[in-house]
Amino acid sequence: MPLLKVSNIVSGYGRTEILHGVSMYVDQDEIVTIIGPNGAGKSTLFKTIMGYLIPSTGNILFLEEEVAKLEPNKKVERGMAYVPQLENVFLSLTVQENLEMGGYSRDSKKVREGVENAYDTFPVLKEKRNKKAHTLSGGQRQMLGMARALMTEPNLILIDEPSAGLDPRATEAVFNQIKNLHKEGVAIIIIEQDAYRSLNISDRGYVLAMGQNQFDDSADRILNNDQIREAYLGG
Amino acid sequence: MEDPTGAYPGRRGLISYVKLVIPFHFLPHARVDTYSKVLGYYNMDFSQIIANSLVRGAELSLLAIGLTMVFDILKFANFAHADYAVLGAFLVYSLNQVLGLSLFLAVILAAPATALIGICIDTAIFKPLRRKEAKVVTAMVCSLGIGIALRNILRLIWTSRTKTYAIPIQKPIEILGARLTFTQIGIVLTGFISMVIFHLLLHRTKFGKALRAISDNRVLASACAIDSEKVIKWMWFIACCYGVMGGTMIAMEHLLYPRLGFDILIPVFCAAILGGIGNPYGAMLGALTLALAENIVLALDFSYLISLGGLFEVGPIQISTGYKPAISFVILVAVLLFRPTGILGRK
Repeated sequence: MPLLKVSNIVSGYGRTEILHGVSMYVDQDEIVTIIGPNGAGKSTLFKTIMGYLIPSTGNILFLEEEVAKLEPNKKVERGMAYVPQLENVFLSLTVQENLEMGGYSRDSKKVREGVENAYDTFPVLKEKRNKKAHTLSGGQRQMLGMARALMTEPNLILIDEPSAGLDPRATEAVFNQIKNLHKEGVAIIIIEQDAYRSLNISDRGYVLAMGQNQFDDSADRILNNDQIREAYLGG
Repeated sequence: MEDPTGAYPGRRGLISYVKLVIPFHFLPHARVDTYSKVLGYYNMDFSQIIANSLVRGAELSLLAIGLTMVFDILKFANFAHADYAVLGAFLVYSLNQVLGLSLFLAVILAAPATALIGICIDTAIFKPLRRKEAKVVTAMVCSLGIGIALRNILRLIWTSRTKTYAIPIQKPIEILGARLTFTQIGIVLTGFISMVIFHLLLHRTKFGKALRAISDNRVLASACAIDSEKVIKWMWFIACCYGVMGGTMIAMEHLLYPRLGFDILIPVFCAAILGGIGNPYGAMLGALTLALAENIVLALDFSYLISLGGLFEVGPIQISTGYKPAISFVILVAVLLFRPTGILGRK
């Protein structure tokens, strides 16, 4: 049984339907990348999985339970985590407070341990613990966003465009962290513009287009598929 | 600005009301007071202005903080906010004058009671609107309606006769040249302590941090398992409790009547907007600035202008205190025109 199983999701904003029956799954310990052109519905899929949008039809099974209608905070309590694109930290809160908010649902002892762990994993955050998050660079914010998401010790993390707005060096660092997370046994779904880099560390990939599944295969085979490469990976 | 003593127009018919009101309230912009009447103002020096401003600022900031917090989190201007405060002030009145409790104890009981009513109103009206993702203006119009309903319920229960609390007449004491009663000193101290508590609440408690997180980024807040509805309930609780304190203070200083909420609405909005709506520190700063402006304008003596620079003798000429709300209205319009983000701006 996969960790997350999404079947035939129809979803969108108000009356505008964006996803017209999307299915996917993620196994424990897997990294899955979702690629597709702008407007394919990648972010909408994330918002639907997280519960910001309620699908009109279709099922979302997480840890073998139907969660399609649960609110985002309930899903986080059950072990999902979400790092949104760009707006991934509380800019007016300090680094420390951001981490504390990440562990909001947990008791204070667990939060303290989690914060210490986060500082071990991301030493740069420790130096800036009392600084407001808006003083951080793009790469540091992405790190903080991930550290915050990890505070609940999730089974699954959804990361929306981790390299958005980052220079190559910061992107490199972020992807290294994602690999580390994976080693610790967290399943990860990534939406990424920089599809090469993301597929390189992934087990499998999905191609979405026009709100529908276009193609899915192992990451290696997607990278070697001429048609997909031409259409979605820029040749 | 009708007579706050509660003589409602409906009682005597509109015609007599218009006749009665217009000559007194719309025509003269400045009033020549008899010397004895303005003696208090005439002798008012700077330290008295500061002292009066601190009192008024404490009252206003307690109200403006709740207004600005609701605006920050729920994104609508709650026009019923001052009426919640007056409802609390009336509960204080009943506990104080009818049951004979001390004012302090009465506020401690009335504040959470009012907060409970505020939370019930939120659950019944604003929460369903949030669920439906209704427009901000819908919530705002609803709050206007709630305000009207509350004012009339207050009139139904407590009648429109003005009320006062059981406070003995006090002899003012002199501090650094300013004369203040113990009540006024209490108001300033309570205001100050409440502001410090509010700051600690925002920065030291889990609730306060969650409130700031929701204000900062709501999507991310729910990705942190923050139950925003629960935080919103606590926010109403704090907003109402602070409002009741502010409302009671204003009623202590002046009079208590059902329409009081409507009369203090503009100063409270002005304070919140002047400081930068959505910013609690702005609300404090805005309240103090407005209070200072009100007291300075009221203390100005226009006799020099009227006598054409001293050509002939006139008594001191000052703006009637009845025009106090006009001062905040003018400031409000000016702020909205020239610096809509207020002094501090949005965080």
